[in-house]
Parts: sequence; C-alpha cells; structure tokens
Amino acid sequence: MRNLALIWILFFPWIVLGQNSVVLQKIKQQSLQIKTIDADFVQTKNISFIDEQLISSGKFWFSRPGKMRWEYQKPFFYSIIINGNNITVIDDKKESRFDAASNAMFGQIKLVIMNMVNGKMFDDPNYQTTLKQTGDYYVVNFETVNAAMKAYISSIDLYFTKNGYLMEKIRMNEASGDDTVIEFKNQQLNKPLKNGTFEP
Amino acid sequence: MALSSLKYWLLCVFAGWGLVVNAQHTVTKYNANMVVQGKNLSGILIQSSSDTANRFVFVSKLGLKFFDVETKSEQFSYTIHYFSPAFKTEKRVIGIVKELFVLGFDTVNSKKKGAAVKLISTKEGFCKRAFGLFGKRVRVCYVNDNITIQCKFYPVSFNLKTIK
Repeated sequence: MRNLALIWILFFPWIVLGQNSVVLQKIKQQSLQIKTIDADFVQTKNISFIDEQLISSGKFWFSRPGKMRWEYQKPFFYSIIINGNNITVIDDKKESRFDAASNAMFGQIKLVIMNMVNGKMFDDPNYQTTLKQTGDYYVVNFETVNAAMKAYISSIDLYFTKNGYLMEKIRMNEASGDDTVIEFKNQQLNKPLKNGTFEP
Repeated sequence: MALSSLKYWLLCVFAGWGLVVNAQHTVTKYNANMVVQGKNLSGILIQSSSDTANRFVFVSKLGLKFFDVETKSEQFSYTIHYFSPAFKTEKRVIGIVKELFVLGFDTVNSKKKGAAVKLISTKEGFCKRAFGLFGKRVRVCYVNDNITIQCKFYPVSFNLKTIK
C-alpha cells in the first residue's frame, strides 16, 4: 500500500503533464482544421480604477491562410481588414491602408491575432504556455516572455470548450491589472464566406 | 443626553456625506482621435473626474492602452500611471499630453499658477485659449458634443466626441 502511494506521488505530476500535452495537441489540431470562421463578438474592456466597463460588439471573419476582417459595429464603427500583408483600417468613414511588413505596430497586431486563430501561437517562442481547467473550458495561458511585448500585454488566456476544443473567449491581461475580454458568439466554422468579405 | 447624541449623529452623517462627496467620480467617455506628428491614433478616452483630480485613460478600439495620466487640482502635479512604449522614443509627446490635459480641462489650476486663460465665444460654441503656464499655447474648443484640443507649437492634437 505504501509503495502504491509512493508510485502515485512520483508519477502524478507526469500523468497531469501528459494529459495537458494531449489536450494542447488536440486544441492545436482543431485550430489547424479551421478553414473559415464567421462569428459575432462582444468586447469588454475592464479598467481597474473605474466601475464602468467599455463594451463594444461586432462581426469577425477569418479565412485560412491569411485573411481576416475584425469589425466593430457598436457603439462605433471600426474595421481592420487583413489580406496577406495588406492591412486596411476603416475608422468611421475614413479608410487607411498599411503594409504589415513596414508598419511595426500593425504588423505585430496582425501576427498576434492571426496566430491566436490559426493555432501558430502554440509554437511562438515569445510565450510560455500553461494549461488549466475552469468550468466548461480549457484555458491556455500564454505568458509573455519577450520584455518588449510584456510592456503591452503581460499574458493572454484563450478559452477552449471542453467538448469540441472551440475557442470562445480571449482575455488579454495587462500588467496594470486592466484586461480586455473578447467573447465569440454564433460561430460558424468552415462555411463559404461571401465574396468581398475581405475587401474594404 | 438626547440632544448631544443627536448632535453626534448629525456630525457623523455630515462627516460621512463629506467623505461620500469627496469619493465621487464622474466618468465621461469620448470617441477620441489623437494626431501626433501626422500619425492618427483613434480610440476611446475615459475621463474620471473628482473634486481633486482628473484621470485620463486613452485606449485603442482594439483595447490596447495608449496612456493613463492623472492631473491634480490642488497643486500643479500629475502622475503618469502608464504610457505605451510605442511613445517612448517621443518623450516630448508624454510632456505635451499631460500639459494639454492640465490646460484643457483644469482652468482653476491654470489660473492659480498665473496662466492666461481667455474664453472666446463663437457662433457654434466657445473656445478657451490658455497661454503661459508652459510657454505653450493651447486652444480648446467646445462645440456641441465635440471638444478639440490643439497645441500651437507642437504637432499634437485631440478631437473628442462624447459617447452617450
């Protein structure tokens, strides 16, 4: 009996680590199977020193390998359209175009958002990955290792459903204690998207 | 005995009320555009005001914070809680932003320190011109729900529209 307890104590961490790597692998595989996404989203910005939240909502479209449209519709109109290296921002009615290769800020935004959706974030050396479980979700925590990036975002939590490994929530944590939560709703995966979705 | 306890009770109520009033913050949200040397940054500016301080947080529409600056009315002082590293190469921007907000939103403070603040009525609204506190000229115009803040000697400006 004592030997059995000893074996359990010695091997339990390895069993958990093994289970975690299996879950992470399944999440990554599921991410790689996604070809298109059509979803609604609600973004909540929490600022630690005020009680009120900043809530915005809109639509999100993604198409592998490198197309994305992130469109805020309420309470303002703001849209980021990524098509390869071309980034178009429509702010109210004003349209601006950027090249991800030459504009560092938008290049980084493009990289982070796309990597979150297409599963490449798991292999990004700028983050240290840990897995935890909460309610209906597996939560993958990406701790920012890169000091320059840490000044913007200290960590990112991606929430995947336990049945289906579907990403339903993103939490971006700042060092100050503020955070931004993005919840995806009415997700439709791998369905053809309308022509012109990724055009301004 | 009854009177003294009533006095004591009233004193507590008023002291408590004073604390509540002092602790009150008014939060105003603006749809904001900041132009720095020709670069346009758009986002939401949150102004949290109390009797003694104004705190301004500017976040991008994607949720990333640009800055978090607090200006205090009692003395001419300010606290920079956060300033995005994207501005670090532009140290003057940090200085200009806090000065714009001190002059733009805090007339009492500016008057105390001898800055010339002049109100100008226009057809659409009114403007406030402040000059002298930092040797810079700041023009703040209020037209309906729009506020524009411009610094004459440095290319930084804000365009704010109240979110209701």
